Amino acid sequence: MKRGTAQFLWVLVLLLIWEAAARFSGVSPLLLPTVEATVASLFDALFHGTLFYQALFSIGIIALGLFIGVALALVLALLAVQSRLADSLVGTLTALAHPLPGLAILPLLILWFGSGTGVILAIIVHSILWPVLLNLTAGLRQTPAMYLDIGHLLSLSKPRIAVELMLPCAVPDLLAGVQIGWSRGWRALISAEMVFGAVGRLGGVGWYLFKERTFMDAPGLFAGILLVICIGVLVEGVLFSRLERLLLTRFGREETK
Amino acid sequence: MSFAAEGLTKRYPGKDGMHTVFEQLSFSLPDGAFLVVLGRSGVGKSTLLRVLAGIEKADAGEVLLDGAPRAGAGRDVFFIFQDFNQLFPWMTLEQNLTYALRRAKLPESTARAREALGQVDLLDAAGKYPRALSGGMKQRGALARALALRSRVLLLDEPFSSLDPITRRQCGETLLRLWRARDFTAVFVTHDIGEALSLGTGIAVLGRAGLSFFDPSAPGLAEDLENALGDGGEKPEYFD
Repeated sequence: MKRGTAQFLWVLVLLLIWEAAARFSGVSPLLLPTVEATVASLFDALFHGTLFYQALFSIGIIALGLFIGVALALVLALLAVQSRLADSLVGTLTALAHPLPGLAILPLLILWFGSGTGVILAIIVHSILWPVLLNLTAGLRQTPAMYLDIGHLLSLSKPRIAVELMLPCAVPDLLAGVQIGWSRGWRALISAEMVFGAVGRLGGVGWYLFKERTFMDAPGLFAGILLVICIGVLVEGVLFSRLERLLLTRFGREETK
Repeated sequence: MSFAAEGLTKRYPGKDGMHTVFEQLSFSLPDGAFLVVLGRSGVGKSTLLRVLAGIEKADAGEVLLDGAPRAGAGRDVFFIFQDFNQLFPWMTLEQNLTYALRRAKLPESTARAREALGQVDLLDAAGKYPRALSGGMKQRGALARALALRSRVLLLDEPFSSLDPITRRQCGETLLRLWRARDFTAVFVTHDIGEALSLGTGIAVLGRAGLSFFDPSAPGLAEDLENALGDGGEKPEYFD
């Protein structure tokens, strides 16, 4: 059986267990709604309510965060492999900032900048930047020494060697970093939206979850969680796996000294 | 017109002080020479080539091309590595060549690349990525890159030693054919006496005392080379 098929079957089993527990365990539907009620609530919120736009808002902001985070990581990593000074600075910054959870700096950011989309974006960028940077610099350093020698033989400048010879070698690591960055960023986004309240006109999925909890709308709450899972699975299972197949056939690593 | 070394010295820091790989090494090759440098593994053959190419700095001495000292590496003196994967794996064979040509600011990169690929019988594989090529094809591709760059001197660091014997002989013949047809000087490093005898118009052995040159037409050459290699000394292995 294919891996995907097996996973799909496991999801069905879990849904069956959930449905059975909701129907026959005697637990109040306020605490555990049925699958049916949850799916109905999800469709209702998506197509008759605001959840669709809230999901779009969250996806938009994480996409922007990913773009900024990856761009910053690229600039810093490419500088770090060209200059010792930049390398030690980037190394120090990474060591200090990488272990710091995005939510830990949220109160400070609110204090400084108030609440708004920019602050959520800053937290997402923080969550994405460091793991991408860490992976990318490690990948750049794994460039075979022979390629650098060839770069010298062709009289390439340091920036050209970094961008044209080292960066292609680091694509697998960049991709791994982006995957870690995305999942951290996505978690940070949902959490920040819950802490923050509505940002923008409607707020994102995190705000939706928070509201449903406040109103004790269990099917709505479960629907929100289901949506967060679905978006995560779609991005990782479809988008990233396609990207991986596309890029790794061309930039995959070969056995080289 | 020549490729020469004057007083080349290379040292490496070791556990117990500096180790000398070679000292005051000098030679001069006329244009179009084909010198095979023999030496036991660990004697510093690769290091010598890397210094000649300008990839590594000498501690003393100079490398001269047409009498002028070379400052660092450049496409005039190109390197063929032992490793099969010296073509960039994210480019097709032809792109590998055109990339090098564009970066070396040579005009008509596509035409030149295709001409060089034709010379090593790889025109049919021009659009293939290196991973789809055999070891011998990759090494011929690397050779084509150097040809396309119109390098004056080719430094070849045991380029065919990881190939099977038949492919190895074929690659050797291709190299000789190109060398006869084109105007470049070759310095070919190997530890295989048979390969040295089949290729070189000049043969030298790198040992403790530096380079000793042998007359390729002298009788009993193979035996002399064996003896010379036997005296290669007990240099630590990490030099190569």
